[in-house]
Amino acid sequence: MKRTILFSVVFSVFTGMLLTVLILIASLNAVRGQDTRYQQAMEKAVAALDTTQSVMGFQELGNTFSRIANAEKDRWLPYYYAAYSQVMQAFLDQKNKDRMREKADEAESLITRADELSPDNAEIRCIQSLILSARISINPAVNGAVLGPRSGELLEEAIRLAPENPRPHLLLGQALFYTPEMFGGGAEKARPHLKDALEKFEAFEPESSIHPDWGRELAQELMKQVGE
Amino acid sequence: MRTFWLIILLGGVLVQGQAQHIISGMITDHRNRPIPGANIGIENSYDGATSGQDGFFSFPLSENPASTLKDSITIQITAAGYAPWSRTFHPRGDSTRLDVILHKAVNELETVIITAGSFVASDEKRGAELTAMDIVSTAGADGDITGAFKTLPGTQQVGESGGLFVRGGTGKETQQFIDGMIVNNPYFSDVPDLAQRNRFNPFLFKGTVFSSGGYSALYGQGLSGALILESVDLPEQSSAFLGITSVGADAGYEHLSENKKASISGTYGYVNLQPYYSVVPQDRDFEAGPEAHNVDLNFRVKTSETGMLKFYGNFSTSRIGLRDTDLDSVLLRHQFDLDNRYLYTNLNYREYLNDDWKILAGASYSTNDNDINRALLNQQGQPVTLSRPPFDTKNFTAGNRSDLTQGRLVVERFLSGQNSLRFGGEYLYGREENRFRTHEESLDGTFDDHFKALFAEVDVYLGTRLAARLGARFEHSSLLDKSNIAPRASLAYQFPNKDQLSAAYGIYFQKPEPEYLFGNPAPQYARASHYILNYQKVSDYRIFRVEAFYKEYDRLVKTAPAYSAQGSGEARGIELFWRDRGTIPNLDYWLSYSYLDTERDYLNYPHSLQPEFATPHTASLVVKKTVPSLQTTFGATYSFATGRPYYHIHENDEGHPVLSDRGKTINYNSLGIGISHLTSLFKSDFSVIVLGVNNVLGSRQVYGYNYSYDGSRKSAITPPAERFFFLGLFMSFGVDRTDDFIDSTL
Repeated sequence: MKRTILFSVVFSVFTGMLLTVLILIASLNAVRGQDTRYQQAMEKAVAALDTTQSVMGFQELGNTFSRIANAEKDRWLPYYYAAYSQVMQAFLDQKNKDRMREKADEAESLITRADELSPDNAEIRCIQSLILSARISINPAVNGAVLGPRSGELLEEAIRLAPENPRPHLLLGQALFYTPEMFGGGAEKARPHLKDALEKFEAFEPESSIHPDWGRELAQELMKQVGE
Repeated sequence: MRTFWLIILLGGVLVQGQAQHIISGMITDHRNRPIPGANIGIENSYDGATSGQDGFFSFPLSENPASTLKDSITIQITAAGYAPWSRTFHPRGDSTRLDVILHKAVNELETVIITAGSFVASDEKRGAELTAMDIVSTAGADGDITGAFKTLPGTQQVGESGGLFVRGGTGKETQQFIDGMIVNNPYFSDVPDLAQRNRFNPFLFKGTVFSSGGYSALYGQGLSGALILESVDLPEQSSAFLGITSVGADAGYEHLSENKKASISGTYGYVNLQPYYSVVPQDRDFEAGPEAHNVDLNFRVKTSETGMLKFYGNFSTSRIGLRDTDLDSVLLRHQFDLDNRYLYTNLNYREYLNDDWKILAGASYSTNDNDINRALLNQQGQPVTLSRPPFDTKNFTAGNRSDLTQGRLVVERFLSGQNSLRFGGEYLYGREENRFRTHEESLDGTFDDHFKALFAEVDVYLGTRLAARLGARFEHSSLLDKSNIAPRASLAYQFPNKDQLSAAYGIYFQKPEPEYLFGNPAPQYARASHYILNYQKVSDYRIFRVEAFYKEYDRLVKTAPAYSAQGSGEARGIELFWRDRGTIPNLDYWLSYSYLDTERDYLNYPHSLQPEFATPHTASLVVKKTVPSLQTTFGATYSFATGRPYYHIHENDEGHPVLSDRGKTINYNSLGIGISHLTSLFKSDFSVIVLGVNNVLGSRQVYGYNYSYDGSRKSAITPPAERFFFLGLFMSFGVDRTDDFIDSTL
């Protein structure tokens, strides 16, 4: 009887421990599962960015990033990419001004969230600047005066925050390239910035496979148009 | 036994990730049309899909909810332009069908805007007819803040007096506001037959609302119109500024703090037209000036994410001396000298207390002091005194000083949707001092007025198509010892194609001008009722609007046969506005036309007459063309107005006014041009060279006629010279102002 009691006590202690360990392992797995699930979902979506060219494509991708963002409310990358996908739709569908405005607004609310999660982030400044550029192209005569300088300032801030990041240089070059000479733009003015961007792309390594790494081809394409 | 437990435990873990549950459905709007691009997602999960062109979606749940601890899921659907939709439910079986109808979101972009009666110049506000820079870049406006508004419908081409003459109202019946507060004496002091400029630099304001009637209950004391100016916030960066023009020079510096949360700036300007007049001869003899010193000071502090404290101060002195032929005698001349000192200060604060409440508080003090000297001069320029009429009243010195101190508080409560409520009050303490001296008498008078107003206004949106703004204003003046209540209402309806129909109604009160208070035994508020109907079509580059109005004036001041508030009037008209800034690249133009039918019986009019400042037909065309290769913008403004009436009114033996002569001036034509060229003189500057010519064609312009005392002679009131030339160089260091300038002229 004593033995049985002793055994059952030992057994229950043992099973209790085992249970605890198992639960611990399971929950650790769950966390890691969550992490890898995030990683996998992001990797898949980020990879899709490279092949996406249509409004519909960016809309679908933007929706995917938004859903990830909704489930991962404290990570900035999903918000960042969701905003990027929205602003790209604005640029790809310039005929419908109301739609452009809608997309710019959506992008802005998403990037604001990203900015709250990751302050002083040069990548985020780039998107903020792109959003202003989209707003300017909705109605250059009306929006250009105020938003133009602000858009440029965001890129300058991005360069201050991350001097080695190629994207602010690329966007600065792109903005200048599409700005008429009379307003202080043109190919001449754009060239040095695009050169900088290309040099920095050579050395640039994204922090991880899901961190921003876009713009190489665009920089090369623009450089071709500007002429070496 | 151990194995048994292990199997049970592991089994439990293994069950996860089995059989998939599929959610599919159709997203449509309330008229059963598919909504593509909607985002369908599950809360706290990556699962989801985007609806296709046919509105259809389908996706598997990656986890079987039946096996997890909480077995309900929340599905969320968002689509641009629609209100978000969500529902929590328990998925049963292996699929769920979900057909959802989304409803249009009440989105600011889509909703109707209350516009009747007003023109907005702003870079931020939706539906603005002008940008802030249009105000400075309109040819012929001479950088005067009111100049550009004279090219809009509803205003008259009045060249002999300052201010905006709106829809049969005088220039003084358009009240000016800066950050909500009334501005006393916004124009340089009156000089006979010479329009005076607005005192305020247009670069100080980011938004302007010009209302030709039917404006909000937040503002009062403008019988016919309101010019509502909103000052700029923090600058983009520090900068220095230097301007040299054919009539003067100014220099300033604006400093933005390192953390970009505060700025301070100072500007000094000097204007003197004497050198210009020695090169370009004038019909009138300017003995002195016009000459002015002007100092602007301001600071702005961002007190929090959403709070802003701003101070603006303007101090100026100006003088002018004129010598004209005296109409009543052949040999004598007439002297007019004016010295003016002016101080304006405005301190205001705005803050969001939380998401629902916003406050705007302000205080302002201003003082305006005029010294006027009028005399008859003989051929040698010596003063002469004659004691018979009409010469006995032609030698005098006069002065007047107006002080205004005011405080204002507006509280705004944001309600659901775009609905909001605003209410508040203001208190104004005004003091008017008059000094009048002839060689035999001296008359002094002082008036104090404690003026209080309370107001409330609500914006109600019934869906996205219909909006109403309803308000009322209560005012009391201690000087008049009278109260009034002014109801205001606007309605706007948006058609499915975004065209808009608006209507506005309001009652407006205004105290008599100070000059009609002295000697007036029972002054009363003048009153006007406005009825406005407006139709507007707006696209990204084009605006078309047509507006019709009817106004009734009563209790206008009468000065003859005796002071009374028995004056009255009426105005009706129709106005058109068309602006296109996109059809032809780099070309922007607008066209406005006003038809006005008005009569009023006021001041010394013997009966109801079409007032001297009003004409039936007025039209303006403003064109701006940019040539990028030349870095140059060409602008032209053409204005036309039919002739205006003029009268000679004299008092008969019983002291009653009698109309003894009348006539109509020739039509008014004016073509103004402006050329601005961008350049950089040094490496670090952005410079603009501006050339402007008013009335290039030299068309004869007659604003009216002055009569001799007995009515036997009259002389035309004309501009002091056929044309006005302006040449200026504006340099800015540090901040790139050219972008502003260019974009504005695009």
